Amino acid sequence: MKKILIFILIGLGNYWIWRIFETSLILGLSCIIASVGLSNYLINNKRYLLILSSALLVIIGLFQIKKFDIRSFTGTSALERDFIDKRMRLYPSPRVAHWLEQRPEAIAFYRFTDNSGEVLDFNYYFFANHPRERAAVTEYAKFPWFYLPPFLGGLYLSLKQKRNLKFHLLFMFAVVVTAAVYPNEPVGFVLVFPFVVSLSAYSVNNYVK
Amino acid sequence: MLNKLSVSVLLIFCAFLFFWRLDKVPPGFYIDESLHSYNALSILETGKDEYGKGFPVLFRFFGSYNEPLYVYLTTISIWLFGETIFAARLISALAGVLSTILIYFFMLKVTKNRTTSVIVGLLGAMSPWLLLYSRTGFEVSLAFFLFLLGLFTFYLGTKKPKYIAISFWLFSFSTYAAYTERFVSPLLALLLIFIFKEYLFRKENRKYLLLGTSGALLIQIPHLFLVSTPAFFPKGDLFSLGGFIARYIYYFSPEALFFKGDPDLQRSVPEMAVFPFWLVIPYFVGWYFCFKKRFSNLSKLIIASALISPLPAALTSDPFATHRAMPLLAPLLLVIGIGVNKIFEILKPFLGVFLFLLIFMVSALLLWRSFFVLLPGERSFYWGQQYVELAKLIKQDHQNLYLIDQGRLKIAYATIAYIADIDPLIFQQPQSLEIEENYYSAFPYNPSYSFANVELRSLDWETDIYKNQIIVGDNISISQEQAREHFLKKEFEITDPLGEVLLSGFKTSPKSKCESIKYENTHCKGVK
Repeated sequence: MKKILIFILIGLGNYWIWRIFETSLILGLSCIIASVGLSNYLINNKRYLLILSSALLVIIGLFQIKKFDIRSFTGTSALERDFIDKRMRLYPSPRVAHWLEQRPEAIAFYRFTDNSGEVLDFNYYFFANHPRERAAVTEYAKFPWFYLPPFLGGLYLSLKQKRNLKFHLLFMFAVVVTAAVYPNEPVGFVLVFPFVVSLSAYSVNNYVK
Repeated sequence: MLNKLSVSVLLIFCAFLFFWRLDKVPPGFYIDESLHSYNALSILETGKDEYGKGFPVLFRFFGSYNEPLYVYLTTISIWLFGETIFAARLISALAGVLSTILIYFFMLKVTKNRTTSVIVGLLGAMSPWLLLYSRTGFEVSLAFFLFLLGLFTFYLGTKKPKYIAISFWLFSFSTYAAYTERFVSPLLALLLIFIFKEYLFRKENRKYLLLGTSGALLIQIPHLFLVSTPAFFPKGDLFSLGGFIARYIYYFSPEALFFKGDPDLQRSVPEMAVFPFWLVIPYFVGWYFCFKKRFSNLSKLIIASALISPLPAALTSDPFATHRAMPLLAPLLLVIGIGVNKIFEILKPFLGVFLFLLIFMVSALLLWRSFFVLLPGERSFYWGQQYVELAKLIKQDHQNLYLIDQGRLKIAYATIAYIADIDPLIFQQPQSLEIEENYYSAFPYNPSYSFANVELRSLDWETDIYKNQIIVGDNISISQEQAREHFLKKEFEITDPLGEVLLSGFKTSPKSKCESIKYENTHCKGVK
């Protein structure tokens, strides 16, 4: 009973899930069920829970990927091209400049690392991206700020147990996919949602025990 | 022998990284740098600062009342190398090198692993956070070195209590290096006394604690004389409580540390954060092991210093002020060092070294790109390169009067005075006697200056065009239409490496202007 109440409080007691439900009922339900699966996996370590959650994460991922355009990684606007041309003039060697500034691989790499930073930012999830709010984006706190300690606590407790390695690999994979796809608001980095909820719930459950 | 080899490798690497083209990268000469160096020159030649105050405890500058240590040490480098940008930045660079060596010894003490200690030392040197401020001619890097030394000696003191006294003296001394340490060092010292109270208050250790705290208080006597003056807390207007928790947490956010960095274009390096991006992995690993062994002396020291260090910076409205949060670099480097060490323990030694070499080469390439190519090319405006070039022109031209617009543009007087070799005695003369007598009373700052053949103030279009002089400003200060209307002749343009015009100098033509005026104008009476 306690576990259910804790999960309801964390899983539904945040603004994010309701924005997800507003966008798509299926997406919202997938997030909730995946969160339940991962929460229980952390407690019981049952393989089928991980498989179920992974399948739901694939559904969530498909929602994000369908809006993804690969050209967003390597495409450049006229302004960006002008900026790159200016940068090229600063290098002592045009060949080096070309490899570091103009190559699609280099552009994709820089954008991917930028996106990764945003996905890993605590403030995005707990403080409405303050103090680095993005221009032309209506930011909102995905979770209340006081969920941050339980989340970090859950991360620490789960890392202490080697049996959770697959969970963490899945988490890292979700982060990488999110950084690659970079979904827009209001849904945002929804692939990360189940992990934040499950780790927070895990931590609170441990504390209550 | 191996120890000497490791230190030699680090020293050679750091000497190159911190000293190569020190006067060119960062480009220009930022106002904070020129304030320190010009006041150092003034102290060296006259025993007084720019306002004529003899050996001040806090330097007034433009009302910021900075700590004095960097200025006094810079007198030595200026005495050795002359009035150059290199001399102005030398003390910082030396502090950076020493900090890197100290990081090596700290990690060696913690891990007993020479390989990972050298690696962490190299990573510390390559971190833009340390590298940028070590190549900048103001106090941040020096203060960081003293703070790190205080932490290291405290850690040594957890085994040999005599070092506790030294650590408190160092913490106290660091408050004379930078404004941030004035708050962080005493707060940290108090917290450490609380955390380690059982150890510190043991019968055999009490004398060292007493020695340390009394020595620290003695060192603070000059400060205590000023604590009741406005000069001691000049930055109160920066404080902002709203959003404090978010800003505080942001100092630990992977985005800020490894991907985005400081949003201020003068305090950051293009396309790099304060640490190379891949260090995010050792960062998480390091924090995990830090919490796992949270009752160890090292973890307690790291957690305490990490909690206290960002407080002053987070209390200001700046989203991520790296210069104010510089003490935080120490615990974060230790955390990353622990993470690197653990990763090396997991990987086979050969694989670990191979992987590190591969990542090191990529990091070095990206660092070279950001620091030595993009920074001098794109950020010269923010570092005041235009005023360095202008000062060189003024230095060669004693015939003309120069009026430099300061209505919107960054303060430039100290850069002009330093680069153009303005005699400090000449500079001090026009300063108000009232300021000298009420030096620590935070007299309102007057941004107008007049010395030698230079004047810096807002342009007055009603009078300035009727005097024979060269008016200097950007393209908003003096537009093409204004130049045409007032018969101003363009004398020079100062551009950045990308060809963007930063400043233009226009010669006035009072005679032509007066001839064009049909009505009687009092300003034209003396014009022939």
